[in-house]
Amino acid sequence: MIAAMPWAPGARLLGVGAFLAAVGILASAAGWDPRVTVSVARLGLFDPPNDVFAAVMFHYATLPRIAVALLAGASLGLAGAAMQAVLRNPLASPTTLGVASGASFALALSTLAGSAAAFLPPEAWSFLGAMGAGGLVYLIGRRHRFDPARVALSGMAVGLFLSAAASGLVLFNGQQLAFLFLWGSGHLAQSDWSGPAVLLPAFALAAAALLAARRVIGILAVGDDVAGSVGLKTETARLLVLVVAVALTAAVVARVGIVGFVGLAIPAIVRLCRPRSVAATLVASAGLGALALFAADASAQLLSRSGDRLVPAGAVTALFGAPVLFALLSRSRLSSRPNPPLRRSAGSFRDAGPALFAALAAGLAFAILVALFLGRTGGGFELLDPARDGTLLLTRLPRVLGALTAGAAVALSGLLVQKIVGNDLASPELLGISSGAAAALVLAVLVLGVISRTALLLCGFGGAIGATALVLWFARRHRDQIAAVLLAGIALGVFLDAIVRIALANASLEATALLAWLSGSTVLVSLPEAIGLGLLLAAAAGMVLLCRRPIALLDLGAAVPQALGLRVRAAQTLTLLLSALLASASTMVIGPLSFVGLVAPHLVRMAGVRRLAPQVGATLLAGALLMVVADWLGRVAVTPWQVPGGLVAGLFGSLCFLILAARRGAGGHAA
Amino acid sequence: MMPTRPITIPGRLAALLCLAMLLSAPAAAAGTAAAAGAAAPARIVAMEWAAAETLLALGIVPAAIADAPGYRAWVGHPELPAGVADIGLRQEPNLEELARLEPDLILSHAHLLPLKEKLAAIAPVQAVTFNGTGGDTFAAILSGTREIGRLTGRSAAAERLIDETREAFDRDAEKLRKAGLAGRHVYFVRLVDANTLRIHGKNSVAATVLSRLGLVDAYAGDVNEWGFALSEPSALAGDTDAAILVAGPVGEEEMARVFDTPLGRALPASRAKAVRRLSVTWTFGGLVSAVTMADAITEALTEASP
Repeated sequence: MIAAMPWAPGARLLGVGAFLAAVGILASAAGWDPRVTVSVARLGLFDPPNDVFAAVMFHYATLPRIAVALLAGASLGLAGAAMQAVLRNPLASPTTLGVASGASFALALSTLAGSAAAFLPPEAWSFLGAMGAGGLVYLIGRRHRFDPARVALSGMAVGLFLSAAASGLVLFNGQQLAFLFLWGSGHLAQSDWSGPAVLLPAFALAAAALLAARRVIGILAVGDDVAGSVGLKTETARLLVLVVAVALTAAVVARVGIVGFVGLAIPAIVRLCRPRSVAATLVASAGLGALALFAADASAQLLSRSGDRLVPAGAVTALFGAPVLFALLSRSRLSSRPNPPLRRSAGSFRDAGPALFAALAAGLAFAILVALFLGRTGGGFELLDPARDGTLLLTRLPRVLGALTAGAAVALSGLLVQKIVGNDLASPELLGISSGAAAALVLAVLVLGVISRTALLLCGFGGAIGATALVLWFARRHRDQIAAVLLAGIALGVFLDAIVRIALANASLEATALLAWLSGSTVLVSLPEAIGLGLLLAAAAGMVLLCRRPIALLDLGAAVPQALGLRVRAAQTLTLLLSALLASASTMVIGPLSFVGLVAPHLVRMAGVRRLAPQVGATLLAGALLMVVADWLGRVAVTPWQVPGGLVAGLFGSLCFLILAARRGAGGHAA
Repeated sequence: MMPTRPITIPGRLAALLCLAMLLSAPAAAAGTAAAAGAAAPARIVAMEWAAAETLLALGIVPAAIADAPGYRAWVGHPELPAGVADIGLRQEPNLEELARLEPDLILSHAHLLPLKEKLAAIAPVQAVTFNGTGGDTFAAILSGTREIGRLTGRSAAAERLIDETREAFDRDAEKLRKAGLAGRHVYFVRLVDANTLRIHGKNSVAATVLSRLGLVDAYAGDVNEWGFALSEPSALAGDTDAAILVAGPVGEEEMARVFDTPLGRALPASRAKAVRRLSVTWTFGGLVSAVTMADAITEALTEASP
């Protein structure tokens, strides 16, 4: 829509800005508190008398809230634009680089620590968390020459790890940490001017610093080679710009929580308007970010007024930002270089022999035996005697089988997704499949009330398939632009996550129950379910092995298979559908947080397995092994309390992935 | 061949599960009859705190409850004896621990429906739902209390508990009337964070308790099925005559974060020095929690007016 307009960049940007401002003003007017009349507002403008509450509210709640919305939006837009420029990465943003999750997790920890953490204000903890997470992603990104998809994926890995850890905290401390749901979705209500007092200097300093460095940012945005040839210390320059952007983000997250999407979508929209200079991009991103968050918060207040629910602004930015970004992406080509991942052609193509399979199979068998027979009671570990304790064995059997089949299914799904995307660090989570299932689950519970496990299963399944279909449709239009497809997947994930967050923030006790399911509680698996999943898995694995030739060729890119006479589109579609089916089915058992779909195929590839058929076999075994072990650990780690297996897998898997990603230096690409 | 797959597998699953549910329903009904007719169950497990406190109030010490530390922190009354086993989180109970305890009866509730078949495999299950039904919560508590009385063969004790509750309400109402506080308007809230709170309204236990005490619930807006609305502090300025009662446990610091801001200080209740912190008050409990709440409210209000 915008890109098609034949106007000058300035006019296009002004058009978008005017639209956002109009939405904000109209929503504010419609949602205006009738207590604040013109005379009350005049009274409250400067020094409200304490006995006229409406005037105090206008002065200490309404006005600072508008100021915070504008400042936070401007900060996120600016930070996102700077990150995207210096990383040359359209996927970079405060949320996709893990910064926001870092802040959220640190805040949860400091709340639980209580007085022990009181020597620093919560803002400082949140700031430390944001810097820590951002720094980690930077270190990993540097090893991969800041490859856009890789950096975004590492950011998401850090984000997922931290949100899994935060979910664990909420699960065990639901009553104390209820606020995290709201805080995690950017609730902008204020009760004094302390918010603007922090955000204004932060924004002013960062904006001044970034504008002063506009030439450096411009050179970094062109490429390291150019930057190096004009004598710029690229590493130092990039690091400095990023520290400013992350610090600004951290300040925002500390004051208002996670406001998704503004930092990702606004710079993208600005780029589509094609501004002529770096300074113009930064200023336009800040300006449009401010107006966007103002409009979003006004809409959030309007939505909150019309019912018993409270809708946070961050959820609104996701609800409206995701479709906008989606529409923009589907109508125009992302003006960034598509960066095909460098393939490692060095090293041997010799497959790991049967030794790997033997080791994996033996490991899995041992894990199953341990999971079935070794339990833990209050007294300690206890070996189960099958002859005496048949019922206990029967209680364990479904969950061990469920973990096994679900782990194997999501691992296979991950392998297929990685083949399609052509990036060995992709995962089913990226397609929004798990978020689709989670959103459908939550909506079903909230709309239909408590329903049976079967109905829940079907709802989640529908949601997952729907989400995949959307991304699939999108991927079709942008086959050759991996970044665009990933961005669409992330957009969808954030959109669905916003729905889940609004729901969780408003429903009290159901929220923690839902959280338990979403964290991958294998407690609920029944034997028929596990067997059904096993049958599905067997059919899918069989199909993949039958079609192994076209699937193996998928990751050579579109040109080669096409030259070989392969119908690439059909092969991609079918493979993606199959992987969606597997991922959604396993999401129902081990939740959307498990990292098995990413880790298992990756581990297998690292072990040296290159051909598809042995890859499929080894991936299935590795996924099953990971999940069975995770589920057992969750069962016995803190008895009598149970940690959902999906959560344990998510924690260990994302940590493991982070270490792997960090270890694999740039040397891997060099050949 | 692809498109048929998504239909067949869940279809088969659905059919299997439906069959399982059909078969389990008569079995569960048979179990009920046995439980109610024959000897009263001795070893009872409560999956939710409201059921646990009701059992204790009827003089039955449950074999185990879910999240015992949580019960001690958030419910408190009646006190939970030390010997009661813990079967883990309320949403994620430890089924193995549960099976080891070999209970005679599991008191579950509607919100744990997905777990029903798993629980039924261990022991007879009865669903008694106190909260979150969307209807009048106090009515649900009364019928839930009677139901637990019937299931445990202590119907007389249940009726006695209901009578005692009514007497306690009357006693508190009398105290408030004597203090000249009859008809006092009250907001009953729980703090979430600096700018967010839950205001209890229609259908909540708090609403019933307030009306039994001769007080008026100042919040008349929409509520969710649990009987509260998630709102901002400025919502507490709607009724200028109302006191604000904050359910405990709540710390001084948390109170200050909401009520000691420029906005919080300007609330009518703050200016009238009518914001009160209550002791531990579980808003989703049974009759004992309702009486605890009534006593806490009465104490806070009578202290407030010299």
